[in-house]
Amino acid sequence: MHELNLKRRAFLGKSCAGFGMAALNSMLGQAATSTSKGVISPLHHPARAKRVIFLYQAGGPSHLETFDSKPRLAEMHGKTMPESFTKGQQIAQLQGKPLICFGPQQNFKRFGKSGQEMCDLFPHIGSVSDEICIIRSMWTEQINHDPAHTIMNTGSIIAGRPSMGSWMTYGLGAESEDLPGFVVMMSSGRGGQNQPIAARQWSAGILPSKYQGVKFNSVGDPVLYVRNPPGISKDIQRDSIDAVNRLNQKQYSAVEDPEIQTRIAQYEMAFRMQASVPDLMDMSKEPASVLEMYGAKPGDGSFASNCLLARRLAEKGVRFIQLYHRDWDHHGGVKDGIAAKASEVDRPTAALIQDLKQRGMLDDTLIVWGGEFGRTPMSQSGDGRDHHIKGFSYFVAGGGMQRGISYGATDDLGYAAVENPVSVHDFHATMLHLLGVDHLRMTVKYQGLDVRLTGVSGEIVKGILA
Amino acid sequence: MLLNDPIYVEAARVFAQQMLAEGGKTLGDQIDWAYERALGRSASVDEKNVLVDLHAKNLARFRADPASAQQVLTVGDAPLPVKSNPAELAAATTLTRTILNLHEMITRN
Repeated sequence: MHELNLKRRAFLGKSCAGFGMAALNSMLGQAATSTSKGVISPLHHPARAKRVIFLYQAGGPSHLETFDSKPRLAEMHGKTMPESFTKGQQIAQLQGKPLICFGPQQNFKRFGKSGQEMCDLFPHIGSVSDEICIIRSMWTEQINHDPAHTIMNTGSIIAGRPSMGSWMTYGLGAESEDLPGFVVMMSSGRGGQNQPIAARQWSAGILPSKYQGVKFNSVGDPVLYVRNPPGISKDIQRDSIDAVNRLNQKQYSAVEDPEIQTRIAQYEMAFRMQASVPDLMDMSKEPASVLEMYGAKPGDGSFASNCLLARRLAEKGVRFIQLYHRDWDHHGGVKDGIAAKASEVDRPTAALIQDLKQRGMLDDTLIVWGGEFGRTPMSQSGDGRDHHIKGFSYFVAGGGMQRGISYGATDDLGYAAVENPVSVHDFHATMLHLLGVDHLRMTVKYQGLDVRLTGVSGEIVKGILA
Repeated sequence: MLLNDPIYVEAARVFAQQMLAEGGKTLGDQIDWAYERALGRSASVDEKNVLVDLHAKNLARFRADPASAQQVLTVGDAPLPVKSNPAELAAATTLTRTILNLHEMITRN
């Protein structure tokens, strides 16, 4: 009797606070997103975005043929690049070679009411110009692909740091129990470069490994062997996994290896994915008009198919979805190279934005488009551009970002970010901010340091926030 | 997934065949035999209980649905023993499949 009274009081006590909070939140007109299932609970401040879809253009898209129009560079075409720009600066394959100005190889056009300017090979992205914010003043420190991927993904060039997707799932938890919180997919399209992207780029690093990104296949079944073997019913499978997990738990009690906890969580997730993954791929209820909008043939391994899957993953509560599209590394043939890439990414990118908007999901989904660096205003091999770190372009949409504006600028020749430069750390700080996390406060103690995604720098870019 | 990959299912089945042939008379002995082979140690009482429990449940299921037992046993090309009780072999396979998926089995130190 006595115990029951105590329990009832405790229940009422907690409930009053609980009901009160819910009432307060609904009065303030906010969704009750102050709590999260991750370590940052409550969130440091109200979140604008609940999830991220990062459309990662691997290889380094030329900003000069995508989002940064440089008429002055066209005027200077064929002339020696002024030394004032290049002296003492890092340079990649063009070391020791003559540096010649190489005018933009494609035309630019203004789109939408906002009149944002971009290459006319991207008319679909142009059609959503009023939804996006183009950032022309990105810069990075790493001039080679793998280190550049590493710093863009983990905020550090030291291997073994957690990727941004892992940080976010760690901090916010996953909204879905049936799918991983962090999913990665890849596509190549034409171009044939097929540069490898190490699995380390979506690793959880020093965070518990259950936060690592899970790569789904783009062709066919997203996850191999997701279906039960013949003769193994769902009940047998469930009981078998329970047995594995119980035995593993006993081993954990003996040795306390945290990897065992990850293993248990993974098997549990694997069981749920046996239902959720086929469901993910079941396009039977997807209207033909939607497939047409993306230009996607589901499961064919294209960027378009991956974009459609990304929307479905977002609907199912995946926190961080990262799509890599390869072969932007146009050391030669940038004119045709860009045209090929545009034909692969323009339509599905715009479709994803529109699709999310139609579903009322754009406001809380942060979309990012960009790669690991840009390309040189100087020519390489006569018709290409080398790696370039001092200035390049990204665009963002949704999730609390400003709409229909361009932010930042490079100099006349598109060499360096001179107006409102945005470093990788600045960008990460801003992403975390929109998700309700103060980048300075989400840290993990490691080797005597308070490690965080933004390293030891990073300022929120207020000018791109709505 | 190590649970569902046909190569693993086949390996589990062959392992189970050997366990039934060489592991002794009782289920407890057989589990110890399998643990020795897979993990280099014998199973504790608690561990045996978990596996005996799993075995009992699955044996009942395979007896009630003999076709499913046949399906499990025909994954992969390795030959079946001349004399075998399908339900028992299938149940034993779910045991060995579990052992092959233990963290201790997968992780080599």
